[in-house]
Amino acid sequence: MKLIKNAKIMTMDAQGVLEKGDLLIDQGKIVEIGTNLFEPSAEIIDAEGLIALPGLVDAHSHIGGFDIITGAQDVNEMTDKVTAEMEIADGLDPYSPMFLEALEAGITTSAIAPGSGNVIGGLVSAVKSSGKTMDEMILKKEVALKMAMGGNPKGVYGSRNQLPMTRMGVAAVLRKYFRDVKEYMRKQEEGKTDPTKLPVYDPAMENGAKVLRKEIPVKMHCTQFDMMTVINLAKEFDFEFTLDHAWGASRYLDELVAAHCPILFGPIAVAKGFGESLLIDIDSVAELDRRGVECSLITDGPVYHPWTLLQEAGEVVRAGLETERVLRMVTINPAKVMGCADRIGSLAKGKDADIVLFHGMPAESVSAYAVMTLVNGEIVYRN
Amino acid sequence: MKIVIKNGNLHDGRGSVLPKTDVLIEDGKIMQIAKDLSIKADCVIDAENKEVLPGWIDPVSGWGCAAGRGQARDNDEQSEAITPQLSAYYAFDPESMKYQKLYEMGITSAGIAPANSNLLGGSMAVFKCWGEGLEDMLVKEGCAMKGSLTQFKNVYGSRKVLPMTRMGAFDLLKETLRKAEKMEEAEKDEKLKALEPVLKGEKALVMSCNTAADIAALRHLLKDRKIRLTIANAYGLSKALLETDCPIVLGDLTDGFSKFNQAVDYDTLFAMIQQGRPVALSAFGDGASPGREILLWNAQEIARQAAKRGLDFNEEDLLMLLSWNPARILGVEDQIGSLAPGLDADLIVWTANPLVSNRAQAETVIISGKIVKGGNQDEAD
Repeated sequence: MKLIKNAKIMTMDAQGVLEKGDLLIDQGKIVEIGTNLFEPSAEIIDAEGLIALPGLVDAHSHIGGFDIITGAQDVNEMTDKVTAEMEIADGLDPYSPMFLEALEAGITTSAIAPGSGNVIGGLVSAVKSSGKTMDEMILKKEVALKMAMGGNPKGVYGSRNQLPMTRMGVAAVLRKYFRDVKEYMRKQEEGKTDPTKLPVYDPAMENGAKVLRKEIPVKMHCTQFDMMTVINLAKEFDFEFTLDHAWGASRYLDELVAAHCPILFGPIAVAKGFGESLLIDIDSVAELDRRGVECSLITDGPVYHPWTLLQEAGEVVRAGLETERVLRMVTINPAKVMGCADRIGSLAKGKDADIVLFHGMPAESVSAYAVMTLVNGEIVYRN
Repeated sequence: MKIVIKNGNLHDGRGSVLPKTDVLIEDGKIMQIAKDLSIKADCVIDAENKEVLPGWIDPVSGWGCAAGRGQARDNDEQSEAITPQLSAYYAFDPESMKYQKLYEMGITSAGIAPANSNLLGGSMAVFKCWGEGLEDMLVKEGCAMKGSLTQFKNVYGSRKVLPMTRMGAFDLLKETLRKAEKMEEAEKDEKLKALEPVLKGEKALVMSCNTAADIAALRHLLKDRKIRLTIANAYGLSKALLETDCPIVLGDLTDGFSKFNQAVDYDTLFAMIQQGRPVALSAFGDGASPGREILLWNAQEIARQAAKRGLDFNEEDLLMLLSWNPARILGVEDQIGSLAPGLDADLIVWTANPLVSNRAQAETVIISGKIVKGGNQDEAD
């Protein structure tokens, strides 16, 4: 047992903020949150003057799959525009130094996705930053099906003079895939009464069926007006989705509010250019949050180092949103999006003891840093 | 036009803070800094309870050299590894620079350098981030020679031409320096002529190096030469540098595809800072197109690293890495990089100190004495 004493606890849950509170941890779980907790057998962690937050959650990254140190490029299978059967976990190296960096930055779980080279990349998993094997680290294997609009698949296949070379082409590839999935599902339905009608098992179709049955959402890499295309496709085929990156959101505030889809914004700190990078407007997140849209922030790691997650949060603070609201975008909001809010994303009785102790208020104070990070109740980083 | 900024907390960029002080700006310059100035001005900006900081300088950068993501960078001449005759002045596009609105994130000037592909890339120039075109934005042309040891393998090695290895790179550098030193004046080509002021120590040599090994080898090569060396990128340092007066421009820390930027030798770096040595920060490393937030984010990472080590390092120390130090490194400290009478009026009124709190917004930006943002008027561009 561990007892974290006298921290300012920002629960991101019903208990709100405890100015001076204690967290009792047993067998990897939070068993009690309150003031003046007493447990003689517990190891005491003195957190006087520190701020306790739920372990941060990065809603979109590729760490372990791309890595300059290990030389990995194992999550962008750019041999076919549709690789819906891919499973991200097969491409992830638990010994990527990025996981240690994530722990140092306070990130305890990431939604790790296939790259955006293909229109349909494969399954996304929720992965904890600590563990020896992927089996140990995976919190939830099937979080979403990764897809990508725009420049990335255009760049990969267009340069080979293959479909998709254009945005029209990307949308057409998606429509064809979903029509095929519907046909596959229809045959499966028929197969229930007439087994001769059963389709040959196809994992790429199975994953699409999970989307159309709304068991998992589409995780869509998209920016600017591609977001409107995605909203239309989702209406046409009736699936749930997140809009990842979402640069240019400020031009479509009403539409995004009406679409009622989570926005996974970032990364920023990219030079403003043409096309997709014409407008990079993180201030739109502040406005979307005020209008009830569930927003999360993302590093797209290892495009940016894990510590930049809180820099992004800092820029939303600069845009005028209250710090506590902004911190939800790196804790409970992404946990909900990943369907993992029963385990992570807030500090509450029964949840995983994934906890970060910060010196200084993260996202607000420039020099705030993680003093200690716990995953499943174990201290996995200490400054 | 006379502008007075009233009652701001002035941070001069050299370590001092003047609480509740006024600044008089006229003809593009800071004319006076004093309390309770009573001068009739065309524009009075109330800065009470606000922080007035000098505009920051990104000293070794490629700002204004590419219009957009993935586009050809005009400061990246990858046709041969030794091109000291080139000048980044001709790579710079004022519209491309202004388009980024760097000043909204604190930056008002930048050293524009040839990219990291070439061993000797060419001359640098210092430009403002806003102005009425090339000449208006120019602070200094030819302020330093830029070279790099970080990218030649990718650029030339992949073509199987010299330099493919560090041996090859250093041989090429050595031979170039030898020719520039020994050859008869009449026989020298434009490349060798361009190196003359560098060899005489009149013009600094800014070399991008990622590792301590690169720096050590470079210092060995330059031993007994008068060349004034500045190290950029500078992730791997070594204690030996503490015995030198070599300035340091720490490169970008955010790019997760860099092998080097999370292995910064902070012990040596902070030791240098505490010695008062010219250490500056940059948004640029070996990545292609950083955004305008990155210089500030890098500065915040430095603040965090100092805090983690429990060092005595405050926001004025941090500001110096963005203002006075880069100005000194570029040799433009008599024009920009601090708040003092006679210097260019490049300053920003922040709602809070951006080196302390992320609540800070750049409310009024003044570059070369002109209000570019805020100040009770619409943005100038």
